[in-house]
Amino acid sequence: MSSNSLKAVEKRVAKRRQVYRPILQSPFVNEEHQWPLVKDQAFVLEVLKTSILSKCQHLQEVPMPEWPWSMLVEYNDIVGYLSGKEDDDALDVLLFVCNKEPDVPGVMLQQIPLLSYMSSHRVTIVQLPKGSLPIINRLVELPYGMLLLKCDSKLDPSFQRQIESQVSPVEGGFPWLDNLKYSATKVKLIKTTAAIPQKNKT
Amino acid sequence: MAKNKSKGNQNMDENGTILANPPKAIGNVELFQRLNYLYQLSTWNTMLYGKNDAMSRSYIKNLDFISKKTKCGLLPSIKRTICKKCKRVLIPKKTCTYSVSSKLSKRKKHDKEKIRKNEDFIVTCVCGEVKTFRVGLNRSHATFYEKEGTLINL
Repeated sequence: MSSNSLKAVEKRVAKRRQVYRPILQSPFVNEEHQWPLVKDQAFVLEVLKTSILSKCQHLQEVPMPEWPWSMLVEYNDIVGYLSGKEDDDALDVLLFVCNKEPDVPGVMLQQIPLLSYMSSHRVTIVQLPKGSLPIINRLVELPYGMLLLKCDSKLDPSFQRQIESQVSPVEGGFPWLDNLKYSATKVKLIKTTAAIPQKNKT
Repeated sequence: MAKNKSKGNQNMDENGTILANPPKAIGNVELFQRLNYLYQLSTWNTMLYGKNDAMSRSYIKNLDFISKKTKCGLLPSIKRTICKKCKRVLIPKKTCTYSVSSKLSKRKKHDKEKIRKNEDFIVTCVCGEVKTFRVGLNRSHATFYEKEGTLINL
């Protein structure tokens, strides 16, 4: 038998109703295709750990510019490097991103694929698997879950080849940048509630 | 008669909210198509002619006006890429710069934990307008639209 308390009666009377409102999504944000697909993410993490990060652990007391490879971990440094003026000697760059971690703000991650595309350097974005940030932080601290490696003469070319072989190119990532191609309207529905107007019995 | 029957069969959750099925189609699709077209046109103009293109700004001005008058919503992924002051589309290396900064006095700058809590993500438009996101307060913050189950595909 149901209770007749005031609270129970109040709950039985509907106050709100579920509504679905249409909303426009950005034509250039496609969650499925924005980040390049990495075939074997666990393998990439393992290669990164053994080839770079484990060695970095022993270089904690050495300042970063003197390390045996050119590496950036700070957000401002990475953004400054990628948005630098166009050079004749554009480098290949590997950008490792922990984009599935709750500790990395989403609003900062949203800008990375576009920034990489706009950069004068040839950037290969490598997304790392979920749970990789705590593992990496034990070896090198990544404050924003990003690690940029410049593929210059200091870096082992076989390491670069191993990583790049695992990354497939972005499918239709930013259509308007390559040529004039209209992207269809993406309308989604927001699931929310609205108040039901109460009728006054006076 | 049918109305009464449907009222009797209303599904209600524990908070007293009447549940409903999502619609199969939406109204005013042409308005959304227009907004989508204006946004793409403006972005393309900015990419071609850079920060000093008046046409791209006027397209966004139209987009803003139409979305407000017709109450057609835009997701934050669009709104974050528009400057509220000059109506430019914010594209890195073309019309905006990104940075992270912490508003702390020099005395407190040795405390790493405090620095992280006071971090702001700043998007600066070429017109000087600044968008600030307080990312340090809650790094795992997600807007209402980014939460799981809020957005439904048609």
